[in-house]
Amino acid sequence: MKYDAVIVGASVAGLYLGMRLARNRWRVCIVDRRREIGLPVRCAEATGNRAELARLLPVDEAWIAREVSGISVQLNRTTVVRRDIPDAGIVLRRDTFEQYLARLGLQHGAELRLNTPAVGLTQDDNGYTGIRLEDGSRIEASLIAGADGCESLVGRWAGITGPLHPAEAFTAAQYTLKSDFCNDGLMHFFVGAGNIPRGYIWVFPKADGLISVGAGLYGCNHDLPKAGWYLDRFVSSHLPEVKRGPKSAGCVPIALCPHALCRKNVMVVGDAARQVNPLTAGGIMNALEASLLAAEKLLSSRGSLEARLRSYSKAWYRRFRLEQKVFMMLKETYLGLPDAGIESVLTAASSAFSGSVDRSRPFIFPYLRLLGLGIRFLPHLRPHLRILAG
Amino acid sequence: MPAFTIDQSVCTFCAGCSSVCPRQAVMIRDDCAEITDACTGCGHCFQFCPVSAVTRVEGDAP
Ligand SMILES: Cc1cc2nc3c(=O)[nH]c(=O)nc-3n(C[C@H](O)[C@H](O)[C@H](O)COP(=O)(O)OP(=O)(O)OC[C@H]3O[C@@H](n4cnc5c(N)ncnc54)[C@H](O)[C@@H]3O)c2cc1C
Repeated sequence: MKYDAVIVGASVAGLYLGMRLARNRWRVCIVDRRREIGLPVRCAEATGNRAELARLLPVDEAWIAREVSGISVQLNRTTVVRRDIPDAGIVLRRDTFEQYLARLGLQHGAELRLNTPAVGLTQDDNGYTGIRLEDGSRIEASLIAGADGCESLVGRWAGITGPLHPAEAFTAAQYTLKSDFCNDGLMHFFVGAGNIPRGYIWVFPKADGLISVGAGLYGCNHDLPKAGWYLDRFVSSHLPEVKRGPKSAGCVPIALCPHALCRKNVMVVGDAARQVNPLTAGGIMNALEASLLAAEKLLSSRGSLEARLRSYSKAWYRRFRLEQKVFMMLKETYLGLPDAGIESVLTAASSAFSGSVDRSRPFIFPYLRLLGLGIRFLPHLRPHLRILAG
Repeated sequence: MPAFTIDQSVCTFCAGCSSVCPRQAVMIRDDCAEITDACTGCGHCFQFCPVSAVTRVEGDAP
């Protein structure tokens, strides 16, 4: 049987794209090398708020672990920011969330094959015809979508992306622990050389008295220990009594999106397309939004499949490129600052954004405040402004 | 023979090593990770692994 689409990767991007296409009567097959949907969880699971998620799919309480009500940033041992932000976001039960997406896809007729690694693309004289599996069998489809994460072999096989440069990856390790430590509904970040240089440590609240404690590093640096080492040092010093379960780890691309997200009848989406915020290394919302955009373009009746894919690629580029560059610039600026500089930026940012957050006001206000901050910290930003021009 | 090897008892199978491997020399499955003969010894995987599961094969040049 020839499918309309074969999707490699049954995680947030692949499952959501598959569900949107299947809902419109596309014959969809989603493959993943994992044995179970959603597991193991390699994610801190923080994402947009209910309203943002409700634009994408019906919100189900079963996959909401916790509402986030604010943010705190600690520089070494001093708290420099602590703000209540109603509706700041939610912490997902990501395994339940992915299982929910899979169920919706199956209800609409999508086919799901687990424990099925894709090992290559197949092609004939006219282009790509599908994917090859480990046992030598093939899955034929008109569209091949790589939703295969940071590694994205599909993107590499089709020549859309290359290997990630080690400097363009965020490496992270985390534990899920039972503890009251920072378990107050806020997202806690710990920065500064005393905690972790060139990265951040997070403590996010979860359901059932659990917290996620993780450490992430921007790029890998020969001279520094690994993310897992900083995590263990932090946990030993702040939570010495707590019993640790297995450590999970992962990698997030913090490179700019490639100019083209497709080639012929192959496309990439989610981490595979580097659709990640390079400062926070968060990618769940972007993966969902990009999948929605891709589905909308694919389902439009205008043009050939390849033309519709190009339209997805262009639309994403227009929508996200500048934002991604701004966050990239902020990340580079952060990495160039000594601890004293981080403190003054955070203190200024905190006071510029003080007062209650009014989401009903025009969106321009936060940007004007950001601009004011940008002007104030121009000397730090200046070396990285070329990112905006690139 | 590959210049690096992955300690399966430490590895979390996150595929980070494979993401940075320029030769697609790392094979990742649900619960196993292996560096194949396509390895040229560039060391990106070794530098990268967040949990230090990649080690240099004894006897290989540093
Ligand atoms: C430790 C950690 C914490 C994070 N915390 C957050 C957070 O709090 N908030 C946030 O927004 N983001 C977070 N992220 C980033 C977020 O997890 C990713 O952006 C998101 O998972 C991207 O989803 P995806 O569907 O594109 O790819 P992935 O979730 O990476 O899924 C890719 C899928 O493809 C499958 N696959 C890969 N290759 C093949 C193949 N050859 N054949 C078959 N299947 C294949 C994999 O098994 C996997 O299921 C975190 C990441 C890490 C590592």
